[in-house]
Amino acid sequence: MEVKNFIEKAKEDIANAVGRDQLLIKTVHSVNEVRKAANRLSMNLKERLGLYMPASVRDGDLVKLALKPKKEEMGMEMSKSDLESIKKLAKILESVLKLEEEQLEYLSLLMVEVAPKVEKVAGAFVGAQLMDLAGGLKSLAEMPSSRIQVLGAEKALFRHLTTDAKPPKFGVIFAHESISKAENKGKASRQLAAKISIAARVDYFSPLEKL
Amino acid sequence: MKRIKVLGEGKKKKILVRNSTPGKTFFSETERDGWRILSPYNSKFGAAIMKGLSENVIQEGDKVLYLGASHGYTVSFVSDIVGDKGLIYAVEFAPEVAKELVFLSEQRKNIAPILVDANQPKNYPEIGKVDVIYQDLAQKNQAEILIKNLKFLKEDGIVLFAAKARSIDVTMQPSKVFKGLETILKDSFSGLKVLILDPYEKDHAFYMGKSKHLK
Repeated sequence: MEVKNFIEKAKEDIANAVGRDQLLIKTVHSVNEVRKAANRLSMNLKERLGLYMPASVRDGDLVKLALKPKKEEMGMEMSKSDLESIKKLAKILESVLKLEEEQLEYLSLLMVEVAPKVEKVAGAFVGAQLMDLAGGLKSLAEMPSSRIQVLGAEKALFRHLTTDAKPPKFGVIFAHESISKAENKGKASRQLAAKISIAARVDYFSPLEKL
Repeated sequence: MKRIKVLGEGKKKKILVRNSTPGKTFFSETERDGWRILSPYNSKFGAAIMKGLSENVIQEGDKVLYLGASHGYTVSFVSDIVGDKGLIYAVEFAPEVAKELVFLSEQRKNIAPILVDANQPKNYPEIGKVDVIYQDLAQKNQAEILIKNLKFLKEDGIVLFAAKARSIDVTMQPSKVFKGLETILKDSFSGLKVLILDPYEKDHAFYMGKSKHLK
């Protein structure tokens, strides 16, 4: 076989190797980035607008406040252009928040398409994060549930393996409400991980089966 | 015509490789007068040369089976060293990084990219025998994979093996992991040389040896 043929074959293999789950993983990254940006912007806006209206920013809707600012007690003097600049920032924050919502919605749709059973059991966002940490649906389906249970808690897990620290009880699946609300979190997390691993296997190995 | 040279001593040591596509670089590496500088921090091959590996282990015209080609940074330099008469079978399993490798292969005439799991040599296309096997994989069974691939090596061929202690066992001391690897490799190789790649690569060792060819 000539080099030319190797290159052609490799191109074909690469195109076939990338499945929809890879798109899903990249989308999770986007959602995480947008979330981070929204958090930072809103913290920043809170500080800046807090100079002018210290009382309302404590628990009000920042974007609304910034668009209709009103000087409050303990607030400093601000000119029109000062407030105009803050308004611009608030508008960006508004659109970032909207973007986050839209991306999350799209992520749920992708999740239903790629791994409907995992989506049902773990929820769209937790399921998608697990897929990201595992590296794809195939790897998630091949993982033992004990591993799925601690995905996202690698730091604690390796601390446990190298020192005599206790093992972590949960990783990203903690965000699932059945765990964060449970009384016995370790038990709940173990059980949820077991169900997720079954769901992932059904999704990967027999996608048409009813769960 | 020399294709690789090492200049300077100690901290000023530099590895230069003649660029077969002068004026064109692929990984934002520095190029001077048609020679590219091989960074020991980006390439375990480079790090091994800094730590005492002879720069002439891979020679012009060699056929190389390169396991774990990744983006192709080291591959691009090996490609310059073996020249047009040589050939590199660059094995990489991860499609994401293999894309870069394919773009590189299109610029060179002597890189054959193969998207296959190095753990399953039976899935390789027909490649024949090679002069050098170079392996740089972050797998738990690195040594086993290397031994599986030995059937592609010519009788007097050499093996270059960059081992990552952290992927074999994170909880074990790297020096112990390297000792263990050495005992495994001694059975299959003669004249085994070991280089510790610190400070260029943390917890990595580089093994060089000749295949014993038991069969």
